Amino acid sequence: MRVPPGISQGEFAKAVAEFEKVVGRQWVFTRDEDLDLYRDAYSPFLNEPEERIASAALAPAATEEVQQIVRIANRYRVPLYAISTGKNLGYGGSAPAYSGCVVVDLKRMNRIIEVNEANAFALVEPGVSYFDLYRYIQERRLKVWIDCPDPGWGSVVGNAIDRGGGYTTANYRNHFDSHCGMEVVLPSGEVLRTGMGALPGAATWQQYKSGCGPWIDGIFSQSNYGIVTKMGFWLMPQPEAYLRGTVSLPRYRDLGSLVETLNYLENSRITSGFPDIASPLIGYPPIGQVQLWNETGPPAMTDEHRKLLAGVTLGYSEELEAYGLKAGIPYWELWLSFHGPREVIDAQWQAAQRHFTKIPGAKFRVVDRVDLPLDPAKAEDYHEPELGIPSLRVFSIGARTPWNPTPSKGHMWFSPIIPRTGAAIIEANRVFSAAARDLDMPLFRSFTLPACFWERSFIFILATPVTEDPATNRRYREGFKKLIEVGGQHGWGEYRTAPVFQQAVMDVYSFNNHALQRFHETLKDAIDPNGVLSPGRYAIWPKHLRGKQS
Amino acid sequence: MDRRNFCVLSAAAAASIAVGRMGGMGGMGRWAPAAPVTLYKVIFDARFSASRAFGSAAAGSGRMTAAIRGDVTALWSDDLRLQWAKGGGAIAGMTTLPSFFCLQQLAQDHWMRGRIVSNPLGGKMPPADPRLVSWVIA
Repeated sequence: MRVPPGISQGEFAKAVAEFEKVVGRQWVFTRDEDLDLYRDAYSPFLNEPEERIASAALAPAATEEVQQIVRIANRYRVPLYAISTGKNLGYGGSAPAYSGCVVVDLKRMNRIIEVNEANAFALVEPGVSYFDLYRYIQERRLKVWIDCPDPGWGSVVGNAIDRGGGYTTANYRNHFDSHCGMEVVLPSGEVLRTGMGALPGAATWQQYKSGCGPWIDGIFSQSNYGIVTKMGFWLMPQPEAYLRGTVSLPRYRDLGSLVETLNYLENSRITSGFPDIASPLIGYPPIGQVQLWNETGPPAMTDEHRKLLAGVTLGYSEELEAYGLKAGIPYWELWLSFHGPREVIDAQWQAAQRHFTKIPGAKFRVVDRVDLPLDPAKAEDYHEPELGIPSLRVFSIGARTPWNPTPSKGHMWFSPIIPRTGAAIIEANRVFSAAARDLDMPLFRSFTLPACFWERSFIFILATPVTEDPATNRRYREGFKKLIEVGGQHGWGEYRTAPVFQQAVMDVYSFNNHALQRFHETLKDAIDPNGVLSPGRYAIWPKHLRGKQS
Repeated sequence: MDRRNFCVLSAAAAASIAVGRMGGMGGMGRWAPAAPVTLYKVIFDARFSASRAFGSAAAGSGRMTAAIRGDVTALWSDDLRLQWAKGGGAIAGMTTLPSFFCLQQLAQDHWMRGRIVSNPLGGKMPPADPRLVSWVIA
């Protein structure tokens, strides 16, 4: 039997026996072959001894069981690591941040407690996946949409508390922002409800977020201050229709105006669907078309076009721009989408065009205009998550195809937040491409466009491959940390990262001598004095382990 | 049934699983079935001739088969998910690695395991296609 660090075999065996009494023997896993299921399938330590491994795993079925587990862990000083469904591949999967933790696997807590159609909200447990919630809604023909990430196999709760995002409209894409109310098991074993959930008998737990007094929900995301056992979410009323259109702009310098106009339209809610910036001239696809490109190949390109691309700097050359103008290939293409009553979305699209018409040479195209709900047979013509439909098709991106002859063994997401300006896109490309070249990292090798998951800011989400060669992985890990540092020097920080990089990321959030990190530690010491909950998660270490990690 | 032991206990009417190289994604694990397992279905990817031949051979030997075209969403959502929730449903297949990986990850929700194997059904295998892997999940 594996044992957590600092705990004797005998003491751990006693703790395990107590865990078994709580959850039942069949839901306590201590054999190596069972614990292998709790390894990170995309571990950047593939085939290396530093890989983070659990000492045991428990699968409770109810909040009360989680409470008892936490109390036992405190008695024996057993470190726990809570996961929902453990599907956040590229950000750590189901492996603990600290080797030897006992994984508390919440996937058996999979009740959909309520979906309220009239007020468009849901209350769910951590084991509920996006597929589960979608299916529940479809089977009951409820007229509400979920917003899901891609792939949609993850936990609704887990993705939100890891601050993931999706693809429908701005009110719902930020999964943490769209939550309303939590139930949390604290490190003491006590249960707390946030917002209106703190008021016994309130029917508004999922209707008003903050209750009264300090709003503390944020401290339970990307942290280790509690185990979230229920969470409410606002859902989108099923829109009547969907319109998707593109705005094409001919010149490199139009990028700044594109972003400025998009910001105005989005911040004014003239458009609220997932904006997707592409460059047909550079050969950079919109996110919504990536899987299609991978399945069927990218659009054909002439030899002349390909040669010109080889000579660009930061995505630009005068010759390439001239070629684009002559061949009618836009430099930039912005995909906009609109959800709502037909007359409203037509008017929104018209208003969007009017604003973009101010940019010389702007052209417009309606890609789709469909009434909803969509015929399920037609869903695969779309990037399903943009229509609130969970999918696994994204995995085709990793398949070996003529366009991807050597797929990787996984990836680590590099995902810095940058300002929402065209100038920032170019500057970030300049800085990161130079750094990546120096570090021989396979990122920013050509001009890279950010994603628009969040309002008000851009985010790059770039996959650093995991290979079968430990030396290459070691180099990539070191390079990745260096890129985090470089980003930090320019004010660009990661929004989320895998455990192996969490310390490096939090180190760049260093204002006033790391005041934020020190505050996190103060909280940790107060809330979890024995340091039993998810030590090291987002670099929040309990006192007895602080400063002792490499 | 204790799902951890499913693969060991369900030995009836078995297809012989020859465990080849361990691993799948990440070279994980030391598990190997202690006894042959009953296959619920054999999965093939209809886009590839080798995989179609694999599916035909399985069907020819009386096994239930299911076709995919890369994406496993419908197969899992409409079929395997329900079977696995009941506590069984070992499958074998010849697909791309990402399709296998997806199914393997989904099967892990039921404490099942996937392995790449050289010849999951026994008998003659179709000519190798470097884009494909053969595997078993139990």
